[in-house]
Order: sequence, then structure tokens, then C-alpha cells
Amino acid sequence: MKVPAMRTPLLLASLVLVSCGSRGDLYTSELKPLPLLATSDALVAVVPQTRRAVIVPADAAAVTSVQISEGARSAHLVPPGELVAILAGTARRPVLDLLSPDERRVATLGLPGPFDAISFSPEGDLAVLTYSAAARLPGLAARNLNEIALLDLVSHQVTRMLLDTESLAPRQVVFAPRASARRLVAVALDRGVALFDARRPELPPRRISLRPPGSTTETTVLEALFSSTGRYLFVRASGVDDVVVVEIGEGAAGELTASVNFVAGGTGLSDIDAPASASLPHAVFAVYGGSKEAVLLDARGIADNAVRLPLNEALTQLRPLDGARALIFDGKLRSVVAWDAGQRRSGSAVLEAGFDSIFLAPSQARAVLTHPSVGAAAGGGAALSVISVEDAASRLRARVHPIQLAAPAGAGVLDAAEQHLFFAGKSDPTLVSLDLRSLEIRQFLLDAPAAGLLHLTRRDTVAALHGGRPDDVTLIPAGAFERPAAVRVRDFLFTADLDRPFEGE
Amino acid sequence: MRRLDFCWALLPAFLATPVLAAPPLQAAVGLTTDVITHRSYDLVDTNDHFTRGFVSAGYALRLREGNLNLDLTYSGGATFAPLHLKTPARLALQTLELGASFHYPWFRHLEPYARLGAGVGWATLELEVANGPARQRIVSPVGQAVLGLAAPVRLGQGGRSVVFDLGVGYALRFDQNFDQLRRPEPARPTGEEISQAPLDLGRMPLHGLTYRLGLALRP
Repeated sequence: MKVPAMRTPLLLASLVLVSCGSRGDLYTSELKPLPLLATSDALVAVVPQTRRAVIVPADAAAVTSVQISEGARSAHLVPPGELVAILAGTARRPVLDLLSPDERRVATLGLPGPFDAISFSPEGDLAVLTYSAAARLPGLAARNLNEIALLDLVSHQVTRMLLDTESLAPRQVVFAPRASARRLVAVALDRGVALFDARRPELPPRRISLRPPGSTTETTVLEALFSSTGRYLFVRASGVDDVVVVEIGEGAAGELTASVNFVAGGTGLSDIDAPASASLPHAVFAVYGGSKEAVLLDARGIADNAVRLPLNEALTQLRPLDGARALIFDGKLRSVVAWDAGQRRSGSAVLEAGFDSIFLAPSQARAVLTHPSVGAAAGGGAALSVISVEDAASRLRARVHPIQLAAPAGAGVLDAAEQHLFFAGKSDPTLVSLDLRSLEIRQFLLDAPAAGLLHLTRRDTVAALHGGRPDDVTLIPAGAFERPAAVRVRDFLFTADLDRPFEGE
Repeated sequence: MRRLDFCWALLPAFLATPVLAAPPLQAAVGLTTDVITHRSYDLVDTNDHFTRGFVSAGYALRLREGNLNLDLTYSGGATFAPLHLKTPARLALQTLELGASFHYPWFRHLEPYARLGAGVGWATLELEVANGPARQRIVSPVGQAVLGLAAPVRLGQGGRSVVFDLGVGYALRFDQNFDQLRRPEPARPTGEEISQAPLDLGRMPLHGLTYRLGLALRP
């Protein structure tokens, strides 16, 4: 029979039957997700291979995924924890994805360059993108490591800036507190510091060289931080025992001015930090391992205003508590000192052993130290020391509350109110909740050991990350610390894998 | 005379009757292949062809021109592929259909036919994961429309024939929403288990062109 009209459909059908089709490449690449992030109410896993961000809410009610830009390289939590910033794109078209897990929405911003790192202001309204000297991006032939980008996270405006220094890529970016009139940003480089006002990015950054007195070579910045008012920038530099204080002013045309002062305190400077008290705007804490002392220095260089505390051991680290208080310690040593520099009182405690991690709760005047093992006199085995800083009659008391452990503590996390510490055993499937005030202990038996812990603040949920697979977590409500109340979410990297877009979309 | 005695009396008469009026039953076996071109199908297969075996039992009604075959057909098959290089993903499809096909005796050894089938299908998707597999089974209506050629070959003088069958058509299925893949529950739950969140993989269309090769025995 003649069927000329059916020739084309028959031919097409034959071609489809015969030639369909080899497997595409949607499912042929190994998944290598970026490290899991915890926002206030969800876990976010960015999977570059599938161009998806998987969102696991705190109650695991509905795990969803959102499409992101191709080439995701790193993901970062934006303070205070409602957004995730993803550096993505290619060398020719770099982008930044801002993901809102609550709204399941992604805003894509074009960037002037394929930056490697991003730093956020504590309030989460500003960010600075920088290069890393060690990073390499395929397809990129050259780049100016002094190029940075200033991002306004409210208006989504991106401004390209040039530091114009002789240094390699920045090492650290710090933001002045928002309380200050200006929005100062300090970029620490291997040679000196660059300062600019984020509200006036059109003005060139102020370059500050750090040359110790009597030296012609610049020194490397190890650590930088602003004072509470933003008037001073405190710098700890390599090979320099003085705290470098940069007093920041403003010229007639609104440009930034900087006056550099080297404030001496002791020998072997190992750590600096700013007091939490707003009544000490000119002060900076400094710890000296060489001269075994802690000093509250006056940024104006007035030696008579310095408050000194001799230490029995070469403690090297300091963390501010509330007011003018601080905790001074060293992981290899067994003493911990609590210091109130304002009232010039202190107290020390001797631990049973050195410790390998510290969890600080300044609002509770508490710290928790984990000991892999303690001496036989203390029963041997692993332990915790809960340090509470308390006022006594004429001194400050650092009390030690020992907590015995059946096995060394592994991962740990504090809740948002710093009232509870959650920690997991290194090799056993137990999760422990410790109330820092009452020292009440609750235990939770997981189905598998936890290699990491995260805390979701909005619903006070602890996420236990099980090792072996990057998509295996158990979500436990901290208020209902019982197995039937928990949910285990597994294989969530495959979420919506069937709904992925076609290539090119 | 009681009913049972009456039936026993008829038995010799039934056995003596020549076998000229055998019931028009036929049986068939074969392979049916669906061509599923949607990219989501790549999750479970390395090509777009999903082949299943089928068995069928039918009843032929002789019409003035041609035959109308009513059949009950079962088909089943499975396919798998490594998902992201690490996790085997397996899809199993089973269907139970009622079909009707009209055969037109064009030539002695050539019968074009058209077949329509409708029934129920079971689609099971599995991921071989730790403490798994994570699995979901979906039951949904299925349908099929096929045009084909049948080639009967007579076997001896008894009237029976073997029919070779080649058909092309379209397999109709709803999109399968695999949004509740779960691992097996404990055999003896104690009430202290940590609950498992289901895995939502998404939707997989499973409709597409189909072709079949069959072999039937016709009385």
C-alpha cells in the first residue's frame, strides 16, 4: 500500500528507536559537596557537580534543593546566619550567589573578578572579596592580587577597589564596629595594612607601612582588630613585641589619616584582643609569653595607664569576657587565669592536664576545656573542665568543675545563648548536653558516631554530622533530647536529582 | 435423575466427540522495549532502552474479517546504573494489562494488527545505600497502543500455528513522583528508633515509544 504521507513519521520513529541514546552526563560525576553550613534554621549543602544547594530544615519536614550558578568553589555563612554566599562562576564570568534558605531564592551578582575569599562584617551588611595568592582557577591567565571588591549586602551593589600596594594578596580583613560613624575596613597584607571607609569607596585606600623603629623593612601582619569605637586599629606583627596602634583620623577632604605608634608592653607578644567593655575605648589586651605577663595597654601610649598582671607560666592566649575581664590560658600548660583589669583582680586555677580545645561562653563567664586524658590521681581517662569566673571577697576566682568522660570528647558546639555545650564522643555514638550553669548532663544515643556538630539557633536544634558520608546527619531538638524526637536525614545530596535542569539552562 | 448422575452420563459422549471445536486460546511470550528519552531516566540506565519480558494469555474471537484477540499480559524487567559513580540505582517495572488487538489477515503469512492495552503498573526505584536499600514503589495506571505485523506459520495439519509478532507503538504512563524513598524499617520496632526522613528524588517520566517482539502459539 502506498503511504507516502507516513514516510517522514516512520523515518523519525525508526531513528529514535535505533539511535536513542547513550547515557548523558547528568549522573556520571562523583558528588563532592562543599562543607555543610548551618544557618539559623537549616543545613545547606552546596553541590557544585549538580549545580544545586540542598536545604535541610531543622525539622527535616521537607528537604528541598535550589539551583545555583555553575562552578561553585566555596560557600560561606553570612552573619547573623540567614544567608549563604557562594563564590561561583568561571574565570570569564565570576559571580556570587546569595542564597536565602528560608525563601528558597538565589540572587546572583556579577563580580569584577574570580575572587577566592570573602569576609563579612559582624552585622552582615558588608563584605569584602579578596584573592588568595595560593589559589589557582582554570582558565585564568593573570590577575591583580591587590584587586578587591566591596559588597553592600543590603543594596547588592558591588564596587571594585584597588589596594595599590606592593604586597601579595590580603591575609585578613577586619571591620570596625558599626557603632562608629565611619564603616572602616582594614585589609591586612604581608606588608602593612590598607584602610578604607566602606561608605566612601571612591576614595583610595590609605596604605600604612609597618616598619619597626630603627628598621627599613616592613613587617608582616599576624593579627589585626579594631577598638570598640573604631578609632584605633591594633596590629600584632611578625618579629615585633610591640603592639602596633594605628590611630585613624580624617583629613580636611574626608580622606583617612593614620598615625602609627608602637606601644611596648613586654617580650614575646603572642596574642592581642580588645576588651568587651565600651568604657575602655583606648585599651587593648596583650599577652607576652616571653616576659610571662598580661597587660592592658593604653593605645595612646601612656605607660602609666597600663595595667599589668604577672603570670606564673608562659601563657600565650587571651579571650575577653564581659566588661574588662579576660581568660588567659595555653593548651600545653595546666593553669588558667581569670583577670579583671578594670578592678585589678585576678584568680587562677590549676587543671589536671593540658587541654586540646576550649569552648568560651563570655556571656555566662564560663569556659569548657576538653582533656584527652588526665592523670591517674584524677582517675585517668578523658575529662572536661568547666571554668567559672566568680567574684570573691577581694579577688576573682576561677573555679574548676571537673566532669569525667568515658571517652575523649570530639566535636562540640555551644548553643546561641551559650547556656549549653553539646559534644560528641570521638568514636562512640553518644551526644552529651552539658548545662553550663547547673552542670546538668543529658545523654543521647545516636545510631552512628558524630564527626561534627552544628547548632541551628532558631529552633534550638543540634545537627550531628556522621563521618563517612557528607550527607548523613541526625537532627535532635535540644529541648526534647530523646531518640523518638530526632530525625536522621541521609543521602540528601540526591534531593531532586531527577528534576535537574538540562544543560545550558 | 439427579444432576450429578446426569453429568456422569454425558461424560462418555463428551470424550467421544472429535476435537474440532477447541477453545480459541493462545499464549505468547516475548520482549517489549520502551524508549525513554527524558534525561532523568539516565539516573537508572546507561541507554534509553528499557527492555522487559512479557507473557500473555489470550482469547481469539473470529470476526467476519479478521480476529479480535483479548489478552491478559504481564510484563516485568529491571535496569540499573551507577549513580554519581558510587551508588547503584535500580528501576524495576511490572505491568498487568488487559489488551485487545485486531488482526487483519492481509496475506496468508502476514497479519497487520492494532492493539490497545490498559492496566496497572508497578514502578520500584531503589538506591543501594548504607543500611539500605532506599526504596519506593509506585502503583499507577498504564496504557499501550501498538501497530504491528504478525506472521503466522502453520504447524502441521492440526490447525495450530506459531505467530511471530513485531509491533511499534507508544507506552503511556504518568510521571512517577519518587519523593518517598525510605530504608527498611526495623523488623521489631521498640518505639525508641530515630525516625528516618524520606528522600525526594523528584519526578521521572516513563512514557515513550515502545516496540515488541513476540512469539505466540495460536490454536
